[in-house]
Amino acid sequence: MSPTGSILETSALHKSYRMGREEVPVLHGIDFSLEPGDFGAIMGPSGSGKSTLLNILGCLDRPTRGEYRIEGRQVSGLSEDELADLRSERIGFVFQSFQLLPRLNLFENVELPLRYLGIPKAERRRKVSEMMERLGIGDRGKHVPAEVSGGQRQRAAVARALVKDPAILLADEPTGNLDSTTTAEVLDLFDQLNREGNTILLITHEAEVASRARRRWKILDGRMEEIA
Amino acid sequence: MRLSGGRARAARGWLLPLQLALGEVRGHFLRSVVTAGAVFLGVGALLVLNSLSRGMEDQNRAMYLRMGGAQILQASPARSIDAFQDAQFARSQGLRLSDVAALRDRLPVFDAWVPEIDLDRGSIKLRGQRVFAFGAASTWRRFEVLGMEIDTAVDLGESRWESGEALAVVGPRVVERLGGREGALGKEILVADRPVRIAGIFKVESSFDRRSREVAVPLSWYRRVRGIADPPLGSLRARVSDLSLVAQATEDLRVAFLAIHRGVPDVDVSDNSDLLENSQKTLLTMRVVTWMIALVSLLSGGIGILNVQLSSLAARVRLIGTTRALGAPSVLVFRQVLLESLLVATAGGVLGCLVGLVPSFIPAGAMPWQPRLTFADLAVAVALALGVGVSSGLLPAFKASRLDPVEAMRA
Repeated sequence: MSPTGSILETSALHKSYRMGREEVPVLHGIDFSLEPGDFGAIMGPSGSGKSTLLNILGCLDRPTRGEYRIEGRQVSGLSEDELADLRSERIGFVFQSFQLLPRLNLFENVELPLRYLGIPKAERRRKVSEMMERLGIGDRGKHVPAEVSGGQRQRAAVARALVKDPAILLADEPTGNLDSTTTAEVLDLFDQLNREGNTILLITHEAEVASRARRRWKILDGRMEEIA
Repeated sequence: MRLSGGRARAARGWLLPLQLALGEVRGHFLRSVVTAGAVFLGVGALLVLNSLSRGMEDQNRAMYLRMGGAQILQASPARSIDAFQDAQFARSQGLRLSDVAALRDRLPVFDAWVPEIDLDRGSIKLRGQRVFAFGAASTWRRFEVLGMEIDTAVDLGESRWESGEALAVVGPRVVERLGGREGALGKEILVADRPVRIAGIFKVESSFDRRSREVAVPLSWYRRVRGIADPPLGSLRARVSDLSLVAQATEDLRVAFLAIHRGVPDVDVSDNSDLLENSQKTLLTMRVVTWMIALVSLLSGGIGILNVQLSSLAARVRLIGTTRALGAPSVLVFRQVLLESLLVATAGGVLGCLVGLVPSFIPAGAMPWQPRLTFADLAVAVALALGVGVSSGLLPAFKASRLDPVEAMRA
């Protein structure tokens, strides 16, 4: 944990992309922190830079300038391999379109991050079973993603993100592909997970979804501010 | 921050990428089968053709040894190539039986002489019908010198043979119409329009053996019925008593022929090593062609796998990006994609090996020669298949492992 106690902390974070000879700025000096147990939401329209920010926070991308710390560790200077390690062990991702591997059943999908971590089989099986039970899909383990509903797929994706006990759960438009009933179901699940102590940060362009979070930020043209 | 180091352990392993690769290959079963087909054809063709050429080589070697190996020299009438030689040959009697006596006195280095007269094929008849057979009139010694074994015989021996009795030893296929070996013994066959008694049947290893269609009669009988004291010979075989003397004996025989034929070079002298050498050259050519066919097939198989893997990579960029985002180390992605190629190539190679082994299990005698494979042939074939798998999988595996997760998930 950082001296400040934050799980994620950015300071004057900048990101720009080079398009030909031109440098296109996307993020302008983002200062941001998330404490353990927080449930945060970053809102913003398409092209505002929220996905870019999430990619940096998730160690999938690097900032052009500025500082970024996860649990107090400076991320900017880490190598690709160290970033991959960090991603693997401390960050859980939930993607908009679930991104479950179609050839693996739900159990195997949830098990995958533990296999990357080299966790022994018996421990893996116990953790996956517990997590799937906890998320209400304990009886769907043998089904491949195409055989279950959208809500169950997203639950499997959340289970996959949480099974390795990450420091934070990052969700990229987690309800973007769901109908209203399933959206409510998934948001209830996030509420429940947060009450159980999980730190969650989601990005969305829907105010209704963001309203379920306890802290909210608005991002526009690469600048971010917290909404009271 | 706690990093367990488990990733390093997972990255070192091959089990997970193997399971993922198996899932991918199984998931695209038809595509995998078609892709493996080219490797299968290459390996199968290599082994089948290799087993055939090995079988031919074995047969040639066996035949060479049966013919006395390198110690046997063969003299046969030379053919004139121009009017000058025609005129020369007219001054000589050609290769004749009387040459044997003259040579035997001059050349003690030879310990066996086998004169042979080729019989007219149309002159061999069974129950009034012509028989497809190779006829030869020769001495009893021929059987021993050329390793011709007789496995069924009645009233047959050297003294009967050399005394000019009307006897014949025939190959099993000649007497098929007489009810096989036992039924044929004692029956008559017409040779040069004269009846001879079938007194023995040659032992042959396969029905494709030339001896299975041979009819051998005594030279003494032939001379008697044809009334020729000094008949022209089709060939004269001579065995050198010592292998180390073959080169000198060959030269001596040539010189001796010139001497007794008044300087006319109307007899060619050759040794069996020419025969072996020529057949080895033919086999070498066959081997080269075999390898060319196999390598072209394997090359096209490799290109096929490369093509399919690159297309498959393009189709699942997003999934690979996801696995990378979830924490899959790049080395794991590399191994998975490499193993996919390897599995497909191995499947093709193993099936090719199974098909390549089939000719080796064909019962002896069902083919002109017995195909044979060695363990080294199989090892080379499997190694080639694996080589194709690795070489065609390296580029896609490298590309997959270098994918940027953000870019890949946007794809």
